[in-house]
Amino acid sequence: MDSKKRTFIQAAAAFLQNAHITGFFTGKIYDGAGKNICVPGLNCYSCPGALSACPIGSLQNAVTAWKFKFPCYVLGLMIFFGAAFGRLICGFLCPFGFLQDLLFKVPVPKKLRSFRGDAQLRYLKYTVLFIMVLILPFAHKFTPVYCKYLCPSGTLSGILLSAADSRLRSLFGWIFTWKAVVLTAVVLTSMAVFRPFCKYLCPLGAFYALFNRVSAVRLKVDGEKCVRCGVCARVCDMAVNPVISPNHPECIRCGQCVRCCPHEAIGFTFASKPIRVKALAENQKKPK
Amino acid sequence: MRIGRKTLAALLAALVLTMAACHSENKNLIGDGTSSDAVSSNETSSAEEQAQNHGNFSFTTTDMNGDKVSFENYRSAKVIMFNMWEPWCGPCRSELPDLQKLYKKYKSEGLMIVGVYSNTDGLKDIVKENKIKYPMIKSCAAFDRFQTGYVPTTVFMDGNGNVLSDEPYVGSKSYQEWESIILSYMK
Amino acid sequence: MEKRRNFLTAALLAAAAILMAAGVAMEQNEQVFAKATRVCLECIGIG
Repeated sequence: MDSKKRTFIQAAAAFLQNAHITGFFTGKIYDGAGKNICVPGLNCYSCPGALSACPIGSLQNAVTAWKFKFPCYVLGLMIFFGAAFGRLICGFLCPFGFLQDLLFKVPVPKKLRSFRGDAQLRYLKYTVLFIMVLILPFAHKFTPVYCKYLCPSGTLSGILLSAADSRLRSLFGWIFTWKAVVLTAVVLTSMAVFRPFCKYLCPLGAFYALFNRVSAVRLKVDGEKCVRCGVCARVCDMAVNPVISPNHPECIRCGQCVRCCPHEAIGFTFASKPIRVKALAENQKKPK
Repeated sequence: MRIGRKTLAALLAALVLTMAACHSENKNLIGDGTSSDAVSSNETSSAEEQAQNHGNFSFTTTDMNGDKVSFENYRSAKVIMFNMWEPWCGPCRSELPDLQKLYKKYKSEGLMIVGVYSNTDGLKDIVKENKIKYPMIKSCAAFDRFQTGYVPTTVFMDGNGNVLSDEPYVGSKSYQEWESIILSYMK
Repeated sequence: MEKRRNFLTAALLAAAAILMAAGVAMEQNEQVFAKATRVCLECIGIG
């Protein structure tokens, strides 16, 4: 997929999920019917522009409720998103992922492609998912632990909310200061490391990662066309080798490898049927 | 710049969605008696808001036990503190014992505290656990104008329906903070 | 192999649909709505 097309889709998705423009001026969040459902990406409900709820926030709320009831609805939504798209959501639809993509474009003296411990650190997000999203909120009622103490997407929304509603600023305490530090760290790191939050911390990415190998939309490598030149692995920003594992849990389906393969050996499929992507043949790019 | 058909369709969809979202927002701006940095699109109703803030408050709803209540039930009070909260909200819940203590202390001097909720999940258990004696009533349209979008939100009124607080109080407060606020209205 | 994977995909999507339907029947979407339309400030780290 043409990278400009993808950027457009990401921008459109970020906008559509936060199209409640008046909220940014009035400081009042949207309370219409859209909030009955969750968006597929990490988009906090407290964002003045948000039209729907966050899946991770909604999941925590269900788990931390006074009388625990199995969260059929939220889990059903998340499984639907995962089974349909896997981490394609991360690559195309998540506004916070998009933000990191944009930040990575900022020129800095050194871009860190990899470092020792990178592979192990990728498992940290599963810990975030199980401990901060599921176990702790279940054990300590009325406390969405991940939302309250970590989520940088929520911090960003809180900043936007307080920009529109000055009353909030007097309420900032140590927790918000800590979360602002986390957000700043993610923002700065994103300029040197590709999508650090998605790789190491995002509980939603961790959840969708579990579906990558079985999602309806997948990647497939044509064994006959592939000559094992290694271009795809070199251009992958998530350090995945598409030939060895085309639907690796760390693949965010950005389509970079599809675009760069000199032999068109990698392609997207829907239920194993190849999806024709226009302009693919004309967009062969030389690897960096 | 050549704009393809798909781009045009996407832009159109975005525009329609934005307009739809803004339309529903306008409904919430009506009767918003709070002062804020907000852009009010209802300047014509500011006179109406003034009227609403002075003695025109009324509502009919049910309380936690299903009995019908209206503003008439509280007219005899000197100061009425409407605490809009939700049972699922941690900080709302944590200030309940303090509110009960304040109610017990200043009840005889004319303080009435009314808890206003909309979600009932775990409501009865929380009220029982904290031994809340002040009324808990279900929110209705009359309270929409005080809703800031945050919980807890608290407003003060006198027995005639005049709104005493310039702005709704957003967020939970400590016993001492509430006590000094209540006393400032009791004078 | 692919057939089995696609079957699993279909099964997961079906399970998701059933869970969502069950959730709506239990009015869990109203719970989502209630919590997404009132900002509990402490829950998002403010105050």
